[in-house]
Amino acid sequence: MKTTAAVLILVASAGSASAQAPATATAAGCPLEPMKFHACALPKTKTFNPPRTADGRPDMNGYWERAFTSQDIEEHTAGLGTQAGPSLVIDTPDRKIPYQPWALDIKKDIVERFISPMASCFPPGVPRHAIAPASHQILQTPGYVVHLLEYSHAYRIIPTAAGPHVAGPVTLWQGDSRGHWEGNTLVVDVTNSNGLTWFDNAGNFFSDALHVVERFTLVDPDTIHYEARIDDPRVYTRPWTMVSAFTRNTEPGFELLEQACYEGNRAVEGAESVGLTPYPGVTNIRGGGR
Amino acid sequence: MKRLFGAVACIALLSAAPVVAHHSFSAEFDATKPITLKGKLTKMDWVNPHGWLYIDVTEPDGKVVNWAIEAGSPNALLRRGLRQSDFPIGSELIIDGYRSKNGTSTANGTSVKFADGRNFFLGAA
Repeated sequence: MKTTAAVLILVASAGSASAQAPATATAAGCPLEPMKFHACALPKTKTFNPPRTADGRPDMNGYWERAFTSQDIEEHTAGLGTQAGPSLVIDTPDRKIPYQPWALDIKKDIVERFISPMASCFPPGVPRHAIAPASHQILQTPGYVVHLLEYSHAYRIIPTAAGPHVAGPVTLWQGDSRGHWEGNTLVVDVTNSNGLTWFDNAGNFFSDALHVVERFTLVDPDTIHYEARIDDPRVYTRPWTMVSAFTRNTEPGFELLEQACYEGNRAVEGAESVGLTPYPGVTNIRGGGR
Repeated sequence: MKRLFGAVACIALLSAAPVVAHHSFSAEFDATKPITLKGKLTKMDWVNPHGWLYIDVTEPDGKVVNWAIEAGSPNALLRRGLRQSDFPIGSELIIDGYRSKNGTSTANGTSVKFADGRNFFLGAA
């Protein structure tokens, strides 16, 4: 019987592009377009009294799906195996990333030169962790928020009562996260990035001077407003902000599965066969060393 | 029966998360070179981060070429209801996809059709 059902699903969703679309166009009664969602959801967070954990924090425990993908955090049209999407940038006049001119030059052909870091199964880095592929899980315990990602078993352990960041020059794929609660919002300060990850598959980048301040806030029991303030004076002309959302995965019995990413990875081989090389970080591309 | 298909489709779509690949296919595969391959399955690698199907395709001159076709991740295929056992060796398949830019007999698969008419989304997206 189970097999029959499976076959029916296969037939019914045959070649359907709609299977790739987000399940809903709204979340918490707000349109799922980053700027509109931001304007609509933030006022709701001021009045929403979220469910609480035993230690009184807003309860974000559970499985979550990202509202937007990390195909391209700027506005983009549909491509090979991808769908169109809006810009996640909410506070620049053209809603593009405010690259310095030299950085914009590098961005133009970065994906034709370098292997996308996540194609090599590296961790997604922050803030990409929040919009990276596959399902997410948040686990809370007093003093910590753990954010698991199915892709490549990537995880973040965010201490909410820890001291200052690790000292330089320690650099990390996922950066060093230090969280605290501001009312109902989990605020996470992230430094010590190694600068070897991207925001997305389109090659949008930062350097190892990246400083991210994230804000996770429940809008209703099943929606999280996610905001990341991005600062990297080496690469951008000004700090900027991206917005996304998480919607709760309520599928009965759902759980994260193993995803041993490197197992049969031929993407690196494929990329090398057309002349791409490992991404060395923008500082090295520019010739300044690290 | 049609109605049943529709109902199941709704459930499938409602639970569908926006699963998009962990890397861009446009770096390796050519969106201007769609290809339809018809042949016999010789191997199915149920591996991360993407599954691979291998099929023997007989070219017009009679020469048999083994093609490698990239599919979705095992977890994505699993959640679409597929199992490794759905791909017995020797199955006649018709696969749509896009050719690799490197000119080898490699493609990124978008859909697969079985001889019994079952037709489903194969891609990573």
